[in-house]
Amino acid sequence: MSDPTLLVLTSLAEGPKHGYAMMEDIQHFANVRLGPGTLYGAITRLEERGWIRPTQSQDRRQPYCITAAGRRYLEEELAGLDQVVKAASRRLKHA
Amino acid sequence: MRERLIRFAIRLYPASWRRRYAVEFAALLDDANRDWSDVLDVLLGALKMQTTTWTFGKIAASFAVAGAVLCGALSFVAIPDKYTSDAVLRLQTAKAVIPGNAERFVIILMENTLSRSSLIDIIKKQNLYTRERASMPLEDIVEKMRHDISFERLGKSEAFHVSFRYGNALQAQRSEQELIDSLMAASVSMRNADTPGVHSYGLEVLDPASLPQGPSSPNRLVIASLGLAAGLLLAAVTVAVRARSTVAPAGNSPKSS
Repeated sequence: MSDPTLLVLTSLAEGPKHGYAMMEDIQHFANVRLGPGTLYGAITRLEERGWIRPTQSQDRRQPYCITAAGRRYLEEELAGLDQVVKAASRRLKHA
Repeated sequence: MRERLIRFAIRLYPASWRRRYAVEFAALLDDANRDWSDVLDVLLGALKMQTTTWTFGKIAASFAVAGAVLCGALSFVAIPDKYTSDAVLRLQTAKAVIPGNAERFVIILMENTLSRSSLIDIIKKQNLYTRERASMPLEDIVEKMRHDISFERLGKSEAFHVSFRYGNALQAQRSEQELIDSLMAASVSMRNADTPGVHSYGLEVLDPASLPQGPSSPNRLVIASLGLAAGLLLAAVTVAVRARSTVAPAGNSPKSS
């Protein structure tokens, strides 16, 4: 999975993070390094859609958290992915 | 250098985006270990962000100009200039002739001039197609030369336009002169041999082989115009795709977008 939108939502599902923390987290759990332009492209889209929102910040780093709508979207996407994974596993076993 | 480029790239984002995100984006760039892939990523990010905020007019103008410039530049790199040398010949008749024999006379002349041996002679003498000769068989070179030669009757007159197209103006003219000489020689030879039906004909040079003053092809204006049209088409497709993926306003149901 390399869709930046899903990766950012997955990262924020754990709790609020700022941009660099998201980059590090995504690299850790998905082994994908999102470039700064790609990450902020995804953050911009997600905020426009109301799936993430900025939280209180103490410095220039702006943390974001996932919204209820964002969580629902992530759950639906993961359910879809889960179906694909199960189908692929079944077919590989029978191949 | 990378630092400067990345700071420059931030300025390429739309002003409205910079007002909202520039401070935190700069903080991220300060934290991250920036390499060249990040520079490219930020540049592409700026381009994407710009195109998502552009109006159709701006997208169409940008794509059209980019298409025209790209195709124009590619035509300089990929399509070499060709120069065409022209000459005009006229059919002469010594006495009353049988209708239809003129065409036969011209066909025999062309067959002689475009024959393998005649063209190989010109290719070697004028040192033509040197690059192609290094990688292609001579038969293919001869065929290529045949494609670069044109015979055309001027209306219903007895005049013929003969041209040769080549990548060098002087070589084009000299080779064209060789072709004319070959046609004249074939004509004299037929007359001397008293070839039945066609021995009454001759050739006269009205316009000798010209020295091309400029390239005859490619027409870069047409190529750039095609690039412009392709750019406009791509702009329309981009706007249509963008319209389909337009996001729902904040607060809407996730799946409603």
